[in-house]
Amino acid sequence: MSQLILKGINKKYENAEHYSVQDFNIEIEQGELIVLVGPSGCGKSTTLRMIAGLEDITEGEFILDGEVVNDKSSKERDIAMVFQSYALYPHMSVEENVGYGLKLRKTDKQEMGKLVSKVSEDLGLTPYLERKPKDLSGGQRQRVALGRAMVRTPKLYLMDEPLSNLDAKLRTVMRTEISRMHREKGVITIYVTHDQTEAMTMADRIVVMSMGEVQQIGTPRELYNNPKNIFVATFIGQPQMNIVRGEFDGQNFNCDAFSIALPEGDAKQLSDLGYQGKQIVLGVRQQNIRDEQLYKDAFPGSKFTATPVNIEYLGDHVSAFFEVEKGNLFCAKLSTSTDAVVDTPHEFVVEGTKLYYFDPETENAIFYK
Amino acid sequence: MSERFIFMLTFLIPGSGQLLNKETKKGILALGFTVMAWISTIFGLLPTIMTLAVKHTSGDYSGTVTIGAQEMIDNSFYILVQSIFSILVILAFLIVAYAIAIDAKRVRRAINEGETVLHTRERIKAMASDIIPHAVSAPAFILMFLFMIIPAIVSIAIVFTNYKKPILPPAFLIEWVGFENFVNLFTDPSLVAVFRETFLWTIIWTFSATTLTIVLGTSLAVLMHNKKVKAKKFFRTIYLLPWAVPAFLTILIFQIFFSKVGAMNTLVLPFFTGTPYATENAIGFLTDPNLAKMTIILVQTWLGFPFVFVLITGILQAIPDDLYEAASIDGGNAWTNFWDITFPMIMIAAAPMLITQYTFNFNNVTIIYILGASVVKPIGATYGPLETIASLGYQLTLDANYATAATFTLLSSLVVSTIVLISWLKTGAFKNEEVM
Amino acid sequence: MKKKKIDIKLIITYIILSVVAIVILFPLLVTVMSAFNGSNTLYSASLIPENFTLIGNFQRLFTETSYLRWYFNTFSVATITMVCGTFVVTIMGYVYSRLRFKYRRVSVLSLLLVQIIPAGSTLIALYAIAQSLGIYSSDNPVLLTYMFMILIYTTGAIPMNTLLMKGYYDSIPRDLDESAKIDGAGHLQIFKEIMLPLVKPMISVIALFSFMGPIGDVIMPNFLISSLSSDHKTLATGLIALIASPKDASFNLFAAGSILVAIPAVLLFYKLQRHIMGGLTSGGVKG
Repeated sequence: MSQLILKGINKKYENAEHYSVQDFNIEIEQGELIVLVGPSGCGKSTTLRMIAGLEDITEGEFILDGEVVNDKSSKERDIAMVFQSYALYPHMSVEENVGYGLKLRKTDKQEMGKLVSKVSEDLGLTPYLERKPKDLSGGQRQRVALGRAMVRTPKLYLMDEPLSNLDAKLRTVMRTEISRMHREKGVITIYVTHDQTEAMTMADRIVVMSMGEVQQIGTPRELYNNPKNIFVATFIGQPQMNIVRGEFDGQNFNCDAFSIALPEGDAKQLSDLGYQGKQIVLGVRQQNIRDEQLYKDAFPGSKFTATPVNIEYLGDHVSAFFEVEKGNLFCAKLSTSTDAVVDTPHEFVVEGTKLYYFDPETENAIFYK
Repeated sequence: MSERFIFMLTFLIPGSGQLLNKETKKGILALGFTVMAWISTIFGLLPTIMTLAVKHTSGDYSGTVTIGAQEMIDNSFYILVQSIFSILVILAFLIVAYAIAIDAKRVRRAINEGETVLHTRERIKAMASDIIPHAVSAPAFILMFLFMIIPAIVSIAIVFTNYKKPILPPAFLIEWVGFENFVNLFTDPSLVAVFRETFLWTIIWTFSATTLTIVLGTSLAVLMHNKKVKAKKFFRTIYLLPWAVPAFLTILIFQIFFSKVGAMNTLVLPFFTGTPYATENAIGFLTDPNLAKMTIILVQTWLGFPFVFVLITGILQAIPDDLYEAASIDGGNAWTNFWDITFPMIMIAAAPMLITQYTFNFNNVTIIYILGASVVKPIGATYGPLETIASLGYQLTLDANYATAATFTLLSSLVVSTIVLISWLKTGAFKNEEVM
Repeated sequence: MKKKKIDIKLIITYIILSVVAIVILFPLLVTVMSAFNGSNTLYSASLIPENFTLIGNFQRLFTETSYLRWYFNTFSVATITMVCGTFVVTIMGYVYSRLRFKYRRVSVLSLLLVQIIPAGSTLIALYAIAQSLGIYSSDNPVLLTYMFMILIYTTGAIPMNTLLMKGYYDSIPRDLDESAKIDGAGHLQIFKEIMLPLVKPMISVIALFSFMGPIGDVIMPNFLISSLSSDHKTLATGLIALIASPKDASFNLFAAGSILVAIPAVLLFYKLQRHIMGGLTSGGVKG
């Protein structure tokens, strides 16, 4: 049984002012697929490279199967990695590329041939075994890179944005492929991406990072329903959550664009926590802003009128954009039967049951448990 | 014991600090170095350096400072070279001693502060990533030290001596003369004339030969960078020939080609003028000074343009087509495209390489040595009118006029290195991550 | 209706390109022709020699001069320089590109700076060093002089070529090393199995450069081996002496001799042409 523990991992590059990764803690159990997600420069790749043994760990302990492996080389850690650039050896054929790691580990020739042909079979690479990487398409190269990792059964799989160079359609296919192979192998996999869709669809648990710090660790469901702070709330979930700053007067939330009554339970809790008469940040997901009569009847207190500056027809729904403050556009995901028209005032309603509240100073979710 | 004391003691007697720190093996090793360094310094290096400047109060050399004390016994020039080597070796000793002292100080600090001291073997293991690269590049640096640095320092030292025919060791002692050689360059009438002429021609030569090379190479590359031109491979193959054939061969070929019985006179001129070749009408392309200057510039252009051609072609191929398409949509034509897009792109990418072309020609001795040989010299002159500062330095060296040669070379080196350094600073070669 | 227009600009382009081609080829052609000129003069009213001889000049070259010795001397020096220089440069380029160590910047910078020292300025001292080492007074001055020259050439080839090589290594993505590292390769394996195959083009270019350097050098041998006998000259000094000798018109012999030097050089050059261009633009332009 594999188990991976990162304890207080810090990374600071020489001559750098700030930490690239700060106090990273996680315990990963056998067979988990962990996705590190965050905007570029958030430290997710650095973390992965530290796990891979490609970067030194400034502080903290990295424990693999009960053993501290900080000072062990990549080779000794027994890992396999898929690079964003694929890093295929240009002078080797597909077969040699896939088999190189086995060859270096002195695997028996016959055994090696068997393993390589099985992986190539699985990934549909068999017809290309003799080709050099430059004679392959982007998707095929990606498969070779994947095959090179999958041919071995290491303690850890590491994937550094493996799908970012593929087009949208191929990406969906490969996502499924990777998930399937992960389930088959049952090996801990750490997957780095900046794409929250990949994170949501593949992960057992997601680690959201920003500015070198872990923001929240949890299952996709937890992160979506119970984001810890504004960053996680806006980063996770497609389409993005709308947020706006305003004043809570004990019952209503008032901002420049609208004023709505908050559900009684929420209002009471906020008051209890001392937010009455103070600024708070309100978060509303796009699908929770509606304009059907049904909802207006259900939430009469949270109706408001705004003027759409743009309306996008998207086939299954309509997105209406209106400005709530300078430079902050709200988006409402409306049904296609809506009668909203650009530049004409329109009445919207906020579904009061699914609201998020954040403290404007700490940016943390006020009701986070 | 204080760290400071350990440091000072170890600097004087490397190894002593290590022994006091109870690092016996390391200490003995370092002491071995100390003994070796002190013995070689006292018995080998210092005595040599002592004879580097001997003041004479009587005899033939009265009132002068010479290298070595006694002619026929001391060879001044060897002493000079060996002294410079000795000084550098002593410097190296000092650096090693300093490193050993620093090490002792660090160990002492660890002891004083009660930290665990890493054993030598562990430390070496930890330092392996620093040691191996240096060990690998050490042979190359030793070679460069012996064959580039020391010779360069020696030739700088020679500038301040009177080392030239007939004052050749061991029959004579070389004297230190200070800045006399420089002063002579500007006061000695015959030298002043030579220097002025040479300097002027060096500038003309460097500037025109290089500029022509660059213009020709660039124009051909731009002309050929045209989708409509067919047979590119054919032309390119021919254009590379001057680079592919070793330069000394082509220079010799041109020496014959432009001679009075060469093909220029016997075939080319008759073809264009219609008058058959006759010995008495033959033009001395390489004997008449002015014609020879033009000829040599053209020959160097012929020799040098393929390099520029290849370089610029590479750069042109890297300029994306859509840049031109965008410019055409903006209303540009072929002419404005060249000056607004192609030319600036070339300058940014190739400027450092093109500057080295200028310094290359400034230092280009081979072509002048070979082609300048047959030029008619003005009456009374020792050196031909085609000599540049660099080639004159070479000729003077061949003629054992070392002090003057070194003065010329030092001057030209100063000019070249200033230009190179400025160009590197301007192009950011020092800051460039790629280079570093 | 579209009429086919005559593209005047294109025609002018072709004319210019052709004229330059002729200017390049003509002197070389004259030389080739005179190598087959049987008469003892250079003068010939036509390009095709009247007194054609296929091997006459080559025979004389081999029998009447020490040409073959020169050839052997020069190619020995060039080959050894090439092997030593390329070996050192290939390893140092890797070290500077891939390893991170103390004083690395200083080392690279000094490689850049020593290139400022002009070769000419070191001659006097090199001669003196050769003498103080006792090369000329030893039992085997020829061999020692040549060894000395090989060391000088090798040294001269190191700084610039190391930087060129480093530039080429730098153009190979670091991901490849890291990937190999994770596959389980050590430094030596990464160098041998991943890097070497990939820098082969640049290795061949540097081999060519360090091979051609000694062949074309006039300055050093002229100075260092002037005291040695004719047998011990290099091609450059030998051929210069051949032309300079006033009594017989040895131009045709020279032509024959230069063809034998030029052919291998040109063939090598064209074989590596593509790599030369790649090497210049990858490592050179930046630095």
